[in-house]
Amino acid sequence: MKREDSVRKRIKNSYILKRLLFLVPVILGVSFITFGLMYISPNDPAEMMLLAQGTPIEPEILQKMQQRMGLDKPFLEQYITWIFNAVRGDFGSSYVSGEPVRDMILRNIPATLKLTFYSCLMTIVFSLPLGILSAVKQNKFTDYIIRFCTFVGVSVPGFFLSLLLMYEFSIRLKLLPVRGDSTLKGLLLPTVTLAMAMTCKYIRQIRAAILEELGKGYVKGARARGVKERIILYKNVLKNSMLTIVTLMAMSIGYLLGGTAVVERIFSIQGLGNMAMDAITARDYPVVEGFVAWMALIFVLINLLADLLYRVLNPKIRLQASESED
Amino acid sequence: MRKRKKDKTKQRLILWSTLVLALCIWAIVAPHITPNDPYYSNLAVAKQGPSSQYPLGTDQLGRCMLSRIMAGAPSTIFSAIAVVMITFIAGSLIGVFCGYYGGRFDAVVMRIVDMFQAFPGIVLAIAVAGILGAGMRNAVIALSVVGWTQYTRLARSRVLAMREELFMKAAKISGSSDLKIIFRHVLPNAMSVLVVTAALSIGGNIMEMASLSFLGLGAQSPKAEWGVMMNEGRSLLQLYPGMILYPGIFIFVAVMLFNLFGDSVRDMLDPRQK
Repeated sequence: MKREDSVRKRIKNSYILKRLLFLVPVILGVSFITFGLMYISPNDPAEMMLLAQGTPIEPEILQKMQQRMGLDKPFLEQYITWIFNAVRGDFGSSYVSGEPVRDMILRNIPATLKLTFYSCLMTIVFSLPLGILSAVKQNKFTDYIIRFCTFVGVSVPGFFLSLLLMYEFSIRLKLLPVRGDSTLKGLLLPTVTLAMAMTCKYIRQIRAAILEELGKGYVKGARARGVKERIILYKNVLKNSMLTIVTLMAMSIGYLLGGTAVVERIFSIQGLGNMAMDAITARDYPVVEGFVAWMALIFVLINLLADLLYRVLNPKIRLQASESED
Repeated sequence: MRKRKKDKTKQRLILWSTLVLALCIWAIVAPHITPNDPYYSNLAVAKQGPSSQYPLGTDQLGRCMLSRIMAGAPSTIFSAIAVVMITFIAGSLIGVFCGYYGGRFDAVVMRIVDMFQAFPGIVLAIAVAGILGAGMRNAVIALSVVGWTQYTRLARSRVLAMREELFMKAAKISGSSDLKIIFRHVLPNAMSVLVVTAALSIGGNIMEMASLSFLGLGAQSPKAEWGVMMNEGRSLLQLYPGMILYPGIFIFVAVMLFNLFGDSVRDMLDPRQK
């Protein structure tokens, strides 16, 4: 018993280690792609920076600027320098404001995380009961209504929905602020926008997961033995389909982190997405690069957590799956 | 009973394909039959409500909204379809070759795929489109860069599953070349899953295309494009909501139709469902 435990722990640890090691090529690769794109992009950062400062562009000044920014060095050297600095937590500083990129990211991250957290919460609160209801009432009127609504919901673009909500609740009814501040009231509309598409997607997936579980033999057996439908549903089916549902939810956090950009833009929330959009318009490459690297890091870590959660919840794959990983 | 269900699926597929086809034909024809010139601005009639001359009113520069929507239809819809075509063809071919040949090439490509998938797609699309510079072509490139991996994964796993099948061995023994096996046997067998994925992703791509344009990373301002129009209308939301409402509704209807079409294709081709 004890020995088995330690074996299990070791396998699990090596699995986590492997996944964490996988992080290295991902971030290297993603940052290499963005770095390469910036390198081939037609704009010269030194020129952009001089323009931002309002300095007249003369060849001499431009050359000095390029030297100071390290732009005269070969591509690989620039990239490797960036990597070495990044490992030490130094992502360079913004071309526009001169502020260290790390500080900018740390300043903007709370708003994005908050938005992500609320949206996930709202998604869970609405999609779980509605998904269950839809599955239980399969092919009845309630099911059709819910399915119709989810269909409409996934087809509305987020930016359209947020503008509609803004018009109705902020401008016409004047109930909520137009700008999303960090208060609950200010975050309500952005949260609804983000949660809407996800809720609709998950209602369908939860419905499918529960229907699949309901079709299994043990449900038929329980029914034949006269177990009440309620008890089958809550004690067995829900418990068994929870596995799929929890994993789905955890995976979506990563997706959400990226998806907030549009909503942050519309509601002028000072978050990571808005910061990145500003940086892109201003060709503020160090900020874009830092944003991309951080996003990759967060995304991979969250997916790792989701994966571990899946393993904890499902004892069947706890052991053998980690051995059969390639 | 089963036959009737199959008939119903078929009928739905025919219905939605017809509607999607009609939408595409409309998108081709619409720019040529606009009621007014979509680029002619007349400040005297700016920000007007619907009237007989301007069925959906005018925008902030006095341009006809309906004409602009009609002129913008092909860029949004066909660029999204282009993205799906590019990713579908490139992704599937890469996946099939990976699965068929295996080895080092496969390992390298799959690590690259992992890398792309370990990253939120829209962030990458925004970064790529933003760095390459705004424009419809760059938006198509950005979404294609993000989209190809799902087809590669799918195609590869299908090929791996059929590698040990009898027909593959038979084809090999009878002396078919690798390319012939890939194009005559492997691809047709992997096709249905890939087509389903492609059909399902058109709607989402229309939405993402419009989002990129809305963010100012796709088509650019004077151009009549649905996302651009909504971006222009954003600051006037309070005074004239029609400027975001009408293009928004068109995007919504287009996405919805393509989603319904994708669903019916899946019901028809994917044996796992229902």
